[in-house]
Amino acid sequence: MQGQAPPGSAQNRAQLLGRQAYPGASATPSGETEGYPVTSPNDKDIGEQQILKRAEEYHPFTISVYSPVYWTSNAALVSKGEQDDVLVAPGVTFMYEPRITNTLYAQVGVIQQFFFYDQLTELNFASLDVIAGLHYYLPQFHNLSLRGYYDYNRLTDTDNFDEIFVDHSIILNAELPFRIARAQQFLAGIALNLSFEGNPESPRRNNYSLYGSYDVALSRSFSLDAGFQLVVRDYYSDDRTDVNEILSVSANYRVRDWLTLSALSSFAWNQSNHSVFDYSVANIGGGVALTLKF
Amino acid sequence: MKILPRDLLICFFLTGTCLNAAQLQEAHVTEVVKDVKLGSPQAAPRRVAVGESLRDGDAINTGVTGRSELTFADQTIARLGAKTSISISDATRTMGLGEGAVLFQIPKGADRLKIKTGAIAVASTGATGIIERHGQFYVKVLVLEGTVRCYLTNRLGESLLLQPGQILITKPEVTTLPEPADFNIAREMKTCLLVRDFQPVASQRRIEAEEQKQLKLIAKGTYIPSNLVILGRGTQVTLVNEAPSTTPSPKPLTNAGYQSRSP
Repeated sequence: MQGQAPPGSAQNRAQLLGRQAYPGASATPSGETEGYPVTSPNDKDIGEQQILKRAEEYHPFTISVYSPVYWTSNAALVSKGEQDDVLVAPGVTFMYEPRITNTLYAQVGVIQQFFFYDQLTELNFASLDVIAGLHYYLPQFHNLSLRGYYDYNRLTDTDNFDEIFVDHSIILNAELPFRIARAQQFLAGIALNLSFEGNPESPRRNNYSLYGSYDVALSRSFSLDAGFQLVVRDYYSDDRTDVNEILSVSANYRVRDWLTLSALSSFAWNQSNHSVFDYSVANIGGGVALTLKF
Repeated sequence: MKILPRDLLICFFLTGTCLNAAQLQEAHVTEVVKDVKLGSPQAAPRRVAVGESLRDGDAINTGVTGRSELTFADQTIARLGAKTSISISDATRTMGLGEGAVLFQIPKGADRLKIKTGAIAVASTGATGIIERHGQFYVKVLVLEGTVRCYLTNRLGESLLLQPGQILITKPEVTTLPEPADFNIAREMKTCLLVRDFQPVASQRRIEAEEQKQLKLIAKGTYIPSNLVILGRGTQVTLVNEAPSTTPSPKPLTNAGYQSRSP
């Protein structure tokens, strides 16, 4: 029947339409200019907000000490006769990054890391990197980050620090972060590692990498990261070319600003035009990292 | 009939739960200055009196010269400035700010009070601060002591913690929260009528401690007082001619002697 409301309808309509009119009109602003409230004797009721400028403190020095422990499915990275093992890889990084301009930083650093295997101790080695270069940010291009630096890499055994391999290379790197929200970020990057001097010759190679990572902060202290890297390794000798894929997932818990606990896992696959160098490996472990900035 | 200890336990639990729910579902009007109206879904707006209870669905509107103070069961207080409208929901745990300014003081360990306005929500379990909204133009949040979580209700993970002395200004229907700025707590406290014209807040000592902490950081050079001041509500920044001072005059300053600058 047209025009006749069902029982109880008035109450429903009162609630529905009444809420639209809610809250009352007395508080509705009127006559505002360009978005600012009209002046009234009470406009100062919330007080004056004097803006304080925070003096920017920049800490150019960083020291990190870390010690991941991994179980690896293929300790020697071989295609046949794989042997699993547990390795500890303690390391220390010292970086000095003086600011030259607001977006240009110099970068000088030393990274020393040791790799100790539980069973296959003959595989133990140490890696020293000394780097020097520049880091340039372009905020106008989506916070594009460009880095170029020289890297001196020396691999030694862990007993007498006898040299196994030494390499001099130039590394060029571009990274583009995409912030999805405050707690999520995707990052894409390319890196070229061009070796111009090395001894012995056979392990020398140029690396061409594409990589991406996704970070999500599930809380202010806990975050998850997933990364993928595709590397083409072009060796200087034996006409060898490898394609390496690395998938990594980590969970990080920041106990303090300077202390982070992590659970780490990575999976790598290597295909080579010399099938003897084909391998796959899974690494699963955890670690603790201490970082100080000053 | 034999009463088992288990039955007693259930009885105590149910009684406690019911009492707790009853407590949470009430807030009281503890101060009324001039034109303050109470509305509910069932009745037309009317003048409110001190001591009246507020329940879910109630709304309070203050007039051009009106102010009010509400006290919740857990001793959380909300002081409403002039031309302010709020509504109460979620067993009085949520306050919707439609327009105006509210000073909130949430005792440490209290039930989490949430204030929602537009897409923005602020929540804390122990803090004193001010939230202000004007139409669709802006929302402003200031923290005087404690920590306040500010987040977007329609975007997971878009959340930040505001610390004492931080001010956040954004739009009500924002999709990304901006970074907060810093403000002078001492000057704010000395000029805020929602503090000065009422009884001292229970967190007064903690606010004073934050003032002292900030003054030390100013003396150390970590904070540099600027000559940019927002003189009350709004977002209009005024360039103050006088040299910036960390000890402001006890009375609210007027527009005289200031140069206005559009933001």
